[in-house]
Amino acid sequence: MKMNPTEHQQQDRKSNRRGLLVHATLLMSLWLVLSGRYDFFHISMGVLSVAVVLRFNRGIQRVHLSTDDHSTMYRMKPMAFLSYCGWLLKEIVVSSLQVTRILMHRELRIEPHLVKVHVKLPNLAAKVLLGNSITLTPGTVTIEIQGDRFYVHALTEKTSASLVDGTMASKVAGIFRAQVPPLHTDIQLIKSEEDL
Amino acid sequence: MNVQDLIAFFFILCGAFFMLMGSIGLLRLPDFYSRTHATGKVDTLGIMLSLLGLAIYEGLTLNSLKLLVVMIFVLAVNPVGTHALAKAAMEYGLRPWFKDDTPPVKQESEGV
Repeated sequence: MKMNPTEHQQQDRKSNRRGLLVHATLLMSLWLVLSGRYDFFHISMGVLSVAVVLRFNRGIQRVHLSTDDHSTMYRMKPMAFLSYCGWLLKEIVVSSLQVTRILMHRELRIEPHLVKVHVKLPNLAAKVLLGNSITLTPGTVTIEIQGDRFYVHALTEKTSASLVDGTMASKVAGIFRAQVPPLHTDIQLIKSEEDL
Repeated sequence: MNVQDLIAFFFILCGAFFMLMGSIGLLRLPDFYSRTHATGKVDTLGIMLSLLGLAIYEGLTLNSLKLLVVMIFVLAVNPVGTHALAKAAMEYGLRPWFKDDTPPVKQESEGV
């Protein structure tokens, strides 16, 4: 998708305004939930604080976290995101129980290893989501993300299974409106000092 | 005591159990990286269950909504903190412990 500069800027400004609105709504609802008082005075204080916060955060809007160009940005599918959250919660419980069983065992049967994996995801948000999901499920921690390469520390082979066979990555990619199949290649398990 | 309280107690007890597991893991696991599993993760579930139990105990009030907000924050922030710790350790040059290594206790206590 090619765009001329002015069109690009226009789209930039449009997405900025949208982001500002979302930001303001979130902040205001947080204020309303936490304050719990709905008279004129308290709500006007809330509006004032939201305005001040947005004013101070204005610079952040302009910081581009990624070098991705706009053509690779995809919107999230809300329903897919919700069902992903459900799946993730289930996964957290299941692997928590696995880790618990390992910890309760008299002789600690762990095989710590590092997983080095190359995952091709549509955009930065997907990468963040995958990294956080890996860390949230017990038994795996994302240590480093360099480009498309994820370094993950895992406690046992069982806990890293959903990462190695690529189910988690494809689920994350499914949230975004992207037609790119997630490429899940070049898996390397590091199990000893020499392989490091 | 009604059903709502019982469900709430059940969740809080489960939460406490997972927190206990996190502490046991912290003591038993051999090195820094595997300990982050115990503290960062099993604990997450413990906190979530405890908060959920408290929210159920409260019923449908503003307070339970606040607890829900806290849960979302914990879910979003906890993995970031764990990742930051692990990454800092990696950059510092701390080697993870592997199974065929000799007892890790010495090296680990110097490293951290």
